Amino acid sequence: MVQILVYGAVISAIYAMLAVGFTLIFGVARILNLAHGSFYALGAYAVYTFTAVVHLPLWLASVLAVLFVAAFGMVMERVLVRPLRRSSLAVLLITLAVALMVEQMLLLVFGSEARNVPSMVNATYHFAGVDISSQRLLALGGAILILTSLWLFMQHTRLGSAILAISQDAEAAQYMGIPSDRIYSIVMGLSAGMAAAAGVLVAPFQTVIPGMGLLPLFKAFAIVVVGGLGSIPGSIVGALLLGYTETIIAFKISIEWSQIVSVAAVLITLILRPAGLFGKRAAF
Amino acid sequence: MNPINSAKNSNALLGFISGKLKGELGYKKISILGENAKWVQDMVPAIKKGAEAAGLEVPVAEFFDVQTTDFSPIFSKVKDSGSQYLIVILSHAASDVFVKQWYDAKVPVPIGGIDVKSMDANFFDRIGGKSIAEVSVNFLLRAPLTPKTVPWWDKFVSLYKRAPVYTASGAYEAVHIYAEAVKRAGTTDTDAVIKELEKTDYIGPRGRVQFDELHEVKDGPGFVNVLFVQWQNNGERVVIWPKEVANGKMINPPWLAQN
Repeated sequence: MVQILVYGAVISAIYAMLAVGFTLIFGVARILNLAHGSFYALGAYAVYTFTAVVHLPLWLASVLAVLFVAAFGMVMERVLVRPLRRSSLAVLLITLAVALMVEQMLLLVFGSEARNVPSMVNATYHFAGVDISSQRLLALGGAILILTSLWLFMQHTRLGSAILAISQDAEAAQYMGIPSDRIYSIVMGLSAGMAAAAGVLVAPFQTVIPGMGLLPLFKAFAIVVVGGLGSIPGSIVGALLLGYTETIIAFKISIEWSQIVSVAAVLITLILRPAGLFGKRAAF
Repeated sequence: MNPINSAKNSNALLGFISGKLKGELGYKKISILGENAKWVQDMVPAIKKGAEAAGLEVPVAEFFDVQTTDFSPIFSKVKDSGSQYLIVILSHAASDVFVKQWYDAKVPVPIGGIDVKSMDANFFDRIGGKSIAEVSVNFLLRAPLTPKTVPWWDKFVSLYKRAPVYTASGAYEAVHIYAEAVKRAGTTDTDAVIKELEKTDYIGPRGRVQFDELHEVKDGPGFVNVLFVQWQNNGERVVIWPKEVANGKMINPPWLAQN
């Protein structure tokens, strides 16, 4: 039981970081960003490059990796997405193109071989039958910290209020003097940075390969379908549901069946409640 | 030419389980974990049956999806089952992830079996030394398996600036074996070449290549041998099974008492 609680919490926290960034940019700018998994992959490769090639300390490499990917996301929004914003299909396709381009670039630059990112912390903890590495606990703590910071930022800053206003009614917010283009750019940076932070935190215990962004994109997509596209609370609840269901199935039935959970969750949600658990409510 | 087929791989694994794990180390309980891929689907039940016939308990024998990114639940199940060893069979899955998570959690059960990524010469360095004590079958490493092995390995490295993977020698041998068969047949006619291929007796970097009645590469001592190779300190690779060709003692991971 304790094992399920702990392992489920770790996986759910990582899923939540991915899904919240994915749903954030949709909730605010109505961008269904298929390049979200690429931000995760770029975060992992950036931290690898800053540590293994540039030889920076791991903490500094992690911060720089997140900032780099956030900047990449903002540039992508400004140069590629903004000119196409009038057509949601065009935006969808351009983000897909970015996803493919990033994967191919990583393949060309780094090759297909997996890259190793060292653990930020090396201890292992054993309690109540649970064997867990400190890196996983760090990922859990980091995810909670980042999600809490995001909530505080949204609720208690002027910029957060502006983002909320845009998400509720973009036109009215513009009439009130909120620069929507600037907000979209900032939100894309936030979304990309969160995905990159997830990539940085999990890179030491996951594999860093060019195609690593696809599965997280799929998981994020499944979570926001379950939670309701555009809803941050929905994404967090969806991440918990998916993470814990996968863990329980892996423990009680077989690890073989755990990967089918996300597919089943999407199908069931689309049949029973297409808007998702929180889909009818406001974005935040 | 390579790898050898699943039936032969299974036999080799059963030899390791009954000869090394039960025979020499006295283990009584093992678990088996294989990726859910066609080549493994028949192996896991066959190995479980064989291990039980050899007198071992097999409390956990499971498959996992090749997309799996979190192995914590299965490690917990294996540990809770009281297993003394975890046999792994994986090729398409990300064994980097599997081995890193095993090491990071200091799972108190050693691992070994068929891990194709672990057959790479740079695997140990690639995952930061976390494959310490992992055992994987291999067919080729820089050791005097035949008089050709070491010079061939060094030539490969000088040409391609990287160590060969296990399939490289098979590909190399295949070209030479075919060329010699064509020379002997004096034609490229398929049936004539097949007859000559059946007579193959070729010493390659991996060992002596002959084909059996099913046209499979013969394996075992004296032929292409399935070597059980363990990652040891500083990334050194040591053959620990079969007994006849072993060149070192099997070690446990650093967080477990040594045998």
